[in-house]
Amino acid sequence: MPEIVFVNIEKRYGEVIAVKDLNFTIHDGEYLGLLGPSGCGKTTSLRMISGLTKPTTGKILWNGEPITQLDPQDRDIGYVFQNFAIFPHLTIKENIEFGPKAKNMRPRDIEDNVEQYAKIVGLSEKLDLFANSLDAPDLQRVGLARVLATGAKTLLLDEPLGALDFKIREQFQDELLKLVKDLHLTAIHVTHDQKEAMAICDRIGVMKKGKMIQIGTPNDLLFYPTQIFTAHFIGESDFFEGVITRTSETHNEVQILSNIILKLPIAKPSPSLYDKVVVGIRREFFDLRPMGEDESKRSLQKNMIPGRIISDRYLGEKRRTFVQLKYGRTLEIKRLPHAREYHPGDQVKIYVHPNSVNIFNMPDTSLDEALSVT
Amino acid sequence: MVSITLENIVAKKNGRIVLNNVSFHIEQGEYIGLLGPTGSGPSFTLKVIAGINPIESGKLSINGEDMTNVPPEDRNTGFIFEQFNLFPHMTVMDNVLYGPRMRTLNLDEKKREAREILRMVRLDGREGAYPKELSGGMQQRVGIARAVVSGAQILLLDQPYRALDAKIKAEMRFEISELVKELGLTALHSTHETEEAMMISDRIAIFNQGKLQQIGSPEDIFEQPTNQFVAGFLAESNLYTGSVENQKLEVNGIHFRTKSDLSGPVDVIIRHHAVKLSLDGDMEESENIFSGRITKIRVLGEFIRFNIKLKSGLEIISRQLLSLQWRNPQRLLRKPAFIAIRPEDIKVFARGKDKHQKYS
Repeated sequence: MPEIVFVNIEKRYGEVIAVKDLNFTIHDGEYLGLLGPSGCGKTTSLRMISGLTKPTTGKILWNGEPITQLDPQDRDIGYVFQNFAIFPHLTIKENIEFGPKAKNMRPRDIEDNVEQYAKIVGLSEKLDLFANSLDAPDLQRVGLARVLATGAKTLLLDEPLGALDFKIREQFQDELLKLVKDLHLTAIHVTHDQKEAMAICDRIGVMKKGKMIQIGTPNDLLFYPTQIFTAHFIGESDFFEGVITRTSETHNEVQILSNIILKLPIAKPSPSLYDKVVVGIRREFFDLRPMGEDESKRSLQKNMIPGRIISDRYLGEKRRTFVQLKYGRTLEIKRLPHAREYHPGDQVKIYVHPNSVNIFNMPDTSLDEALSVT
Repeated sequence: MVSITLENIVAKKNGRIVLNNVSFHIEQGEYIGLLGPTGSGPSFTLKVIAGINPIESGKLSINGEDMTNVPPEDRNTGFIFEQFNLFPHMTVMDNVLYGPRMRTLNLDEKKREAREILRMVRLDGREGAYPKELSGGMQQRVGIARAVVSGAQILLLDQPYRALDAKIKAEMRFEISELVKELGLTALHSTHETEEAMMISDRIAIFNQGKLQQIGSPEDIFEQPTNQFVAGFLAESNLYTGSVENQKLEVNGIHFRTKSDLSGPVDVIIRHHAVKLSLDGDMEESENIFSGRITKIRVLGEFIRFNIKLKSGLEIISRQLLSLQWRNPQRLLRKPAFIAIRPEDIKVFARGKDKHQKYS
């Protein structure tokens, strides 16, 4: 049940910076996900915990002790790979034994552990089968048992479900979570699949270009993104550049799309008058309504964006509706499957609920750069 | 534009039957999504139409002409693979002209055509670029341009988005299907993902174990699945057994109103998203309302999943589209709640009728 702390970790390969300024804690007994586009540094971070990669600067603490320079075999940490790394010509028992043997454990303990963990992952009946006769889920169960039989209480998982068929993947997610919680392990799970990360992880670290952007629970990342990239990468949001046109004790007003005023609660830290900001709104939060008869001629109400329907697609579990706003901008809205159906050309208004908006400072670079996944 | 007809197609791979008596007709200019678990038939259907995989028995016609034994190069099909298969050492233009060059067609004329097509796929100005300088979406458009310039009238797309990041995938989804319509092609597109298929297809053909299960518009197959496999595959579902009489269904002592005219023992599928959830019981529905307690909550991104234990002991999962009312949902754990299910959302199938078609 170890706690792991990254302190100012940086890893460089020559001129190339793989990760930098990593400062975060993985709590005792926590299931942490590392999520991000390819090349974001998530696998490098995992390898530094295992000792397979050593950081250039900074240190890693394991239960308060620095382990930064220890070799993998001197750490009580198990690494589970996407491609299983199982010996096909050995039996399941021999494969599981391989873990504890490599750690020079006593034969008696090896036998006990193999038996115990084979049972936990549900392979007791298959111990004498050759690995090459197993299907993918069982191969990954062998991978897990082999690592756990070493006595490791920290589990590192690199896309562990990547080779499994998608229906089985969901079942395996539950199995993995139960295992980690029942055995009081600390687990770090690298994936590019955000649905998988949300289904399993207590918290998720979102990474981009070698940096940790935000760590939080799935609820935090969806409802309280602190960075534009989180709001963009996790789930689906639309973004608008805006200017603060009014501030008061109770609310701020932001002007977007040249003449739309959004009246919003005070954000923390509160922006100042005429600050340039970015407004992020989740696609599920837009409230689409038909435009009243002569409403479009009257002056615009606050928090209301007029538009015209491009298409409205029924997708079974939901609907995706595309709305053309003024100035050529298109907005995509997710709605309930049996919500009102619209037809191309319908005049609509989109109501933006004050609490549905996330306000961010305008990035130093550009909005496009902040949204870029590479 | 061309139409395609498959009649009683049987195909084998390594001695195993991979397409088992598959028949369907594709109209000119249709965009067909082929959906199913890995190895269930979508990819083999594409390979059979392309001529890459031989046909054991049955008949394949293109525009009414028998193509069953015609070699692949004479079928006017363009195959777009997951990995795009562009030649990395060739420019965009050379990639696009590869087909005509191999067949030593009139290159000047083809070059004009290639420019025109590249303009349509919005790659004008990039003729001299190499594949590695292009985004995934651009590479795919080069693949399509190459197929069209080579004379393809049928586009076969084998999981074209599989290797792509979710974000890029979402941006590209429409591009290709719109492009295909503009170019007047007939297209077949295999995928594992329900949403992708629902989004792009005029009609969806859904497969299991080499057999075509159902073909129809996205709305039809989703709302009117003809068997348990289709119902369960298209969306995450609660699975029960029960018995039905006079449209009244009993599951573990609970009575539901359904639209089913079956009678006797049945398998029941209720999709997670079709279970409405309310904390105070204020719901539009007048039927199939039950009270219970929330036992587990998981925030999954665009959906939040609630496990609910009903008074009778029955467990049911409800999935709610992300909305402000479900912010900080863990506060609702162990709280009482109400669920409601529309009668038409309770999918009922005669028990055991297609047991062998279980999807898990």
